[in-house]
Amino acid sequence: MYKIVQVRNAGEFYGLSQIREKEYTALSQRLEDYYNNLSNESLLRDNLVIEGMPYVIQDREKYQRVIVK
Amino acid sequence: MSFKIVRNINVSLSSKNLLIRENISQLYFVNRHRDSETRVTVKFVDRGDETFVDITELLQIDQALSTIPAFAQPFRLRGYEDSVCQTKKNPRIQNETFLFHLAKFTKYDTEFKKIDLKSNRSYNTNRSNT
Repeated sequence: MYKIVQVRNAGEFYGLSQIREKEYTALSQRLEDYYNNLSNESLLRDNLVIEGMPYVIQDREKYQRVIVK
Repeated sequence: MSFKIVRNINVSLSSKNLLIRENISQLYFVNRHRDSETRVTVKFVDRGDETFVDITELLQIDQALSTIPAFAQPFRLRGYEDSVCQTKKNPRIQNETFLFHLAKFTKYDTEFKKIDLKSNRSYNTNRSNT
């Protein structure tokens, strides 16, 4: 079972597996724990941003994983 | 403070390619850095949407957190042509939960998987397109 989390257009969308919903909640919690204790280590090393690489950003009060496009 | 953005690398996040990727990024680091550019488009891998951020907002991801496969998995309904879809939103899709089976996803899959829609309610995919 998948829950639709984002509709891109009439034929394309993003789904979240219901099996993984708890895991997703756990990840959100881990991100929060980790980045709320923000240290300099979390800031970018070398000021280098690589396309396609994963990073974390703060989106409103939550931390989210992102990839640079 | 100057930032460097590395462009146009076809990155695969599977562990096999990590070493290759590092080598390529060194190359691009030298050739293609752009100090003037400070904003980038990022995609939320666990939600599917995108946003535009200043690169000072990017935080280094912890290794353990980066290896968890993306939660938002992309799907494309079989039989829907791109020309028909365009940017039309379908609210009916958003409000329902569907049952479908599919092959395993890799870590940060960006290719849309083609699926046939099966709902527990009778759902006419052709009608929803009108």
